[in-house]
Amino acid sequence: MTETVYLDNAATTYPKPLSVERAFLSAAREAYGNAGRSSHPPAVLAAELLYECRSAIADAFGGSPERVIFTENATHGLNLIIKALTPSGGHLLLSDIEHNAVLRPTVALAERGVSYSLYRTTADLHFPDLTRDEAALLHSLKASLRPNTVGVIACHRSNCLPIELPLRAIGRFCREHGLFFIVDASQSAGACRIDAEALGITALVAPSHKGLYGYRGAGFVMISQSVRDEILHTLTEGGSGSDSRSPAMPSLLPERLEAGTRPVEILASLRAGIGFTETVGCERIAEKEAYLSEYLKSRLLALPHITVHLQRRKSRGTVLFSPLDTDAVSLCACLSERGICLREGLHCAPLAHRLIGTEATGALRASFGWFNSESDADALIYALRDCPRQR
Amino acid sequence: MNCIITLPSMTHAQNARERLLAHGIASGVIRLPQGLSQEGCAWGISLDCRHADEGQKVLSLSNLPFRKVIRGGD
Repeated sequence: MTETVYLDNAATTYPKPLSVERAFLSAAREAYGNAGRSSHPPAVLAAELLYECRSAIADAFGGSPERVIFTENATHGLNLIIKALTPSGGHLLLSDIEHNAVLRPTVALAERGVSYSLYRTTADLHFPDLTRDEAALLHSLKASLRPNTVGVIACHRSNCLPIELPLRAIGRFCREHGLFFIVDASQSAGACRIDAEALGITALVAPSHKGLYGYRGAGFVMISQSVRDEILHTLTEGGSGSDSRSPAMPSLLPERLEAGTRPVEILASLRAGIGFTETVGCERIAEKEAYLSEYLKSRLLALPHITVHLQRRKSRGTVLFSPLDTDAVSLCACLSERGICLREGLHCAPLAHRLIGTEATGALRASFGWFNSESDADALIYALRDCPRQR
Repeated sequence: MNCIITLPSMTHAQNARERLLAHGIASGVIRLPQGLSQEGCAWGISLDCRHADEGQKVLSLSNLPFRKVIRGGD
């Protein structure tokens, strides 16, 4: 049987730490009540687990527990907060590397008269210079401003390109211009220190199952104290365990934006996953992922039938590459047969692929997590040499 | 004698409990009888009435949206 080499951690991390598995099972067995709905022990235990998770998120990312909203995933969180904050007729500024989780809800808001512009994130894609990149980004933001601009959305770290956005500078820009600032931290949470309050972030969004090492099925939005709860439009309505006589959702967070039962097992795993990243240290995680992706890049560059995209930029955990002699889907299938798990295609980020000219062809992405090693990169290189090439 | 400070949800009650604990005031989260709440399905924290005034101050300073204080029996 072929051994599996998992290099798709940007999609979802694997394996999960033992502490995460234990937290999940323990919650499923013991905290089986519906959190915040009853006062019997299993429901109270479930509610305490949720509160521990809210507190862990607030402590890790510089917020308050009662302003942590649990969602189904990051996409749901981004939908929720983009639609909650954006008034009819408003104008949004999106970076040119945004995921469809941001692009599509923004486009869908056109029915409320919402428009958007893309701001550039780099000065020169192929010649990285952080100072020039930041200046180009800020210049582009300023040039894109309109009288009805209400907010900026930033993908902190691209899910396929080696690009990370300067949150502090964007946050300052938003404060200066009275704009809200939404950050999609799907690829950075767990591998970067993010202090939302210090960075001027209005809402920070992340999933449970990527760099925070929880299981799939949950995410969160952490909302700044600067936002008045009652102005937030709701995305879904239903039971909240409070103010039940009212036909409207409660006016206060988090219940205002949390309708229905929360997945306690998943959130217990998220709590444990955050504990894991804190114990290991997000700097160490980031360092290891960057090292492994740079190591893979150096080996890929030696293969004549492979081109590595944006190779001068420092990889931070993902490497995007294309074959010169076949298509990305065929190569990925060939690698898959040899136990190598990558992701090909557009990675739900057509804007990023458009930027580098791979929108029509897609590309392959290898992405590392804490549990990978050099031998995983070596296995990919070996399989790439072994894969038959179509002519 | 125990007092109850009513709060709009279990999350806010949990938050209140933690804030009070940070100030050395012990309390417990309780579900309120329907008759005690105008809004239906409400939560609160139960604490020793000797700490109720100080507790209210802590919650006010923390911007926690408590609704009222009910002074009860043992």
